Amino acid sequence: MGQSNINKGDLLRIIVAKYGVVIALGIVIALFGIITPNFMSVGNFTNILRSISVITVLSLGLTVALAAGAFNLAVTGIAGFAGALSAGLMVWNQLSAITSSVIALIVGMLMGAAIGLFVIYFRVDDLLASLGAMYIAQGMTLTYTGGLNIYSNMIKPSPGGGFTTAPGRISDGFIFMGQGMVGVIPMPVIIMFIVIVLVHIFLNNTKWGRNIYSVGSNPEAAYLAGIPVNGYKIFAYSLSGILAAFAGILLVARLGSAQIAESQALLLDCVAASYIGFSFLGQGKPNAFGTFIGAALMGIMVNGLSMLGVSYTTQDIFKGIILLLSLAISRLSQK
Amino acid sequence: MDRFVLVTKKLSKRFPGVQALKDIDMEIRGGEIHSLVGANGAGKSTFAKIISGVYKDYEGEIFINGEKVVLDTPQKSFQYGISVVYQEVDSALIHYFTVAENLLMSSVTQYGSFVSQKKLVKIAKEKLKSLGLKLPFDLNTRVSELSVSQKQLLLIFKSLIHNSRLIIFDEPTSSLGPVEVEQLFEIIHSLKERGIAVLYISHRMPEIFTISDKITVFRDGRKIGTFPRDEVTPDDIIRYMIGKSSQKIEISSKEMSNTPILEIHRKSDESQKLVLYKGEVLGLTGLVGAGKTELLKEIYTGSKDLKVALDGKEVRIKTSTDAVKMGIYFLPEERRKEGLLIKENLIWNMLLPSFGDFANALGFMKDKEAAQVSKRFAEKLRVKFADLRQRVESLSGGNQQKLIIARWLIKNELKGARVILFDEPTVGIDVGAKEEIYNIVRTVAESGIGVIFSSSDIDEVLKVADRIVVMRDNKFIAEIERKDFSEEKILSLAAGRHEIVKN
Ligand SMILES: Nc1ncnc2c1ncn2[C@@H]1O[C@H](COP(=O)(O)OP(=O)(O)OP(=O)(O)O)[C@@H](O)[C@H]1O
Ligand SMILES: [Mg+2]
Repeated sequence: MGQSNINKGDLLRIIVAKYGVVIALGIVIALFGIITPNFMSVGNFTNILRSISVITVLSLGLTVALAAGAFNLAVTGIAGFAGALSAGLMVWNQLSAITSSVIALIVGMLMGAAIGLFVIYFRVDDLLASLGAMYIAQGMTLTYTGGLNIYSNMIKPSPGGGFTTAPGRISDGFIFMGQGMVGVIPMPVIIMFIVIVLVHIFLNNTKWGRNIYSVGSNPEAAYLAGIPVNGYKIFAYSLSGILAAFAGILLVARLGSAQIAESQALLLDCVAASYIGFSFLGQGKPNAFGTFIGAALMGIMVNGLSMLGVSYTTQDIFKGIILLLSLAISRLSQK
Repeated sequence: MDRFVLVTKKLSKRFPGVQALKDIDMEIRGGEIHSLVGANGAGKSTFAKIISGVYKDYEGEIFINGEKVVLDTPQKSFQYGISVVYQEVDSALIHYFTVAENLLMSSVTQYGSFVSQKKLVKIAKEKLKSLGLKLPFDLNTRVSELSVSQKQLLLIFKSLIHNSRLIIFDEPTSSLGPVEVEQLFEIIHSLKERGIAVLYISHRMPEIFTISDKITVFRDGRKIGTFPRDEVTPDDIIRYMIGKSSQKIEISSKEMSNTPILEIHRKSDESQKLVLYKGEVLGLTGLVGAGKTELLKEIYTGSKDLKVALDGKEVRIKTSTDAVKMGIYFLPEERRKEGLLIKENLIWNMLLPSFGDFANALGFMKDKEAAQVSKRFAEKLRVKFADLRQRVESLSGGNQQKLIIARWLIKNELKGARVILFDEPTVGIDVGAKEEIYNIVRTVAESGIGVIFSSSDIDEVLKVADRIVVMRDNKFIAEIERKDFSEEKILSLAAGRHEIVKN
């Protein structure tokens, strides 16, 4: 029994399926380390981690929905609206940072739940339904903000002519979330790791996580085992909404203002990060640490390519390629 | 045409942690029906898969008509004239295609890229005619509208059209009723007359002794021997399979309790009602399509047309979740589609309904405890596995089935069931293990709950039930007490004919 007769081709396949993304990450780091002089510095890695913190949290929102077999393309839309809302409540309504954030999180949750309800009630395709929801959320953001970025004591044209100055500020405590440092580690990076660990524990070590995965992997069997499938889907969409909203808030904190167009650009990165994560350790399903690795891979690509002077627009080509490769790898790990 | 002969020499196959097959020497000849039997996990399906080109890394040699061949892709095997009718016929057909398209598939392209349905039907008709075959349904039908046995027939005809010379049947009858089985056997006999070789895998002893010319027994991945049918008895075969004589359960008519535990009335038809008593195993039988599965699902997932009373009190079941909370459990018929999470491990699959019961107050899973309980039940049902954490897709069919039975036994131990509805629970389970499952079912019932045991295998219903209800066309048509059990009578009731010719 001791000797195994797995042949070389299979062994390679198993290794690629299990560690493919980790290896890819290693290769990308090594490559950039060789060709760009300042890449391998603690400072740059801190930079990269900071730059992926928002995307990671946002991708985790998508990951949780995917775990329940539900697609939620609206995460970026929800993030945009929740971010703008939190900033608006502070700047225009002078609410505290905590109150504003909590309201924004609740709104995000409700938006997620609404998509879930819609998908289940009308039995429509979740990919398209959530795409529709993304447009609604973007429209809501533009309507709410009047198309203006929101910042402390902002000035906006008033309906009667002239200008109004906002009475409130985005509080320093709020901005600390996105810009502060704890020793040498940026605050958003700490927050990101906390969220990763929480999502990981939730999905893997709680009964709700098990049920969500079960619903995602065979809804019919889960239902016939007595699991309230629809309830769990709505639950997953709600969590997805909360995480997306939190990512939106974090983005505002990082930038110090609500930049209304900022989160829209993150959709592809987000889908890529989640899907790249599937194959992490051969799990073949959405998972928290995998999503982080996926986000890191994307972030490092962007960082390295930028240092090499590759333009943003060209970077999209590389992002797309990585997404496609990751899909192929995750296919292998499901075999 | 030469007579087809397939010979294997020292055929072996390893999976991580298991030697699935070891040194198998076989000879399969045209014009012969060769049965392959063995306990769950003995390696039967693995053998069939090697021959049909599924595994490229088998060891040993295969010869067809004396020529050494390497069967490392399904296409190659197909070209050598080997085809398989898997139990899961669905996986081999394309549902939204028509019968004609499916029949000609894999040769469709040779008729040009754009072929009209009309032309396909014409070609298919001609081909069938030249082979002297006649399909009892229209070539324009969509496959999704066919019954399981019709799909099987379609697959068999498809193999014939493509000049198959060896057709492998892996547990073809497990979703068929007695009438369909008869039809299938007629077809298999005609295959034999055409000089085609048939490899027939099944757990049903009576079938094997009806149909085979030769019987080969596998045990733990090794071949015990090949025997001409007339030189062995079913008891011999079972002994070779499991290494000892099987223990048959003896059930005497016992004094039945008359406390109803589950009562069902159909609102749209007053005459339709069913009462299940405490401690009773109620056998539910009838042909395939008689409405057994539908009835059980109506009970379990709720139906506006049913009035259901549990322990004398009317209850409203709207979803499976309600049912499980009330202590009504249901084991579905189609294990792959409705039962298993194929990518998850054994523990996960056994605990699917019970995650909440293995969590602490904060919702965290108590994984150690969960693993212990799973292990205990896996052993109790003699599931053959290498590791509790392996994915269930790597288990043999019968062992997968045992897991979903274990699933509800575990839930019962944790929560205490009132009623368990088993739909075809022994599909794919070997002879020895079947007896154990009958025993378990009886013991569970005796602990004071009600069991409905639905099966189209009349032999087993006769064996395990205290009382039998026969269904036909979605109606209960007869109720028979144990003392009046008779196979003939039940068959004729089920089939809707009062005389049945037995030969
Ligand atoms: N893909 C796989 N990976 C790992 N082990 C496997 C795989 N397929 C089968 N096995 C193992 O090989 C052994 C033989 O399995 P096989 O499916 O051939 O049994 P079988 O005789 O068909 O049983 P059954 O009567 O239950 O269908 C089993 O122990 C099974 O767990
Ligand atoms: Mg098998």
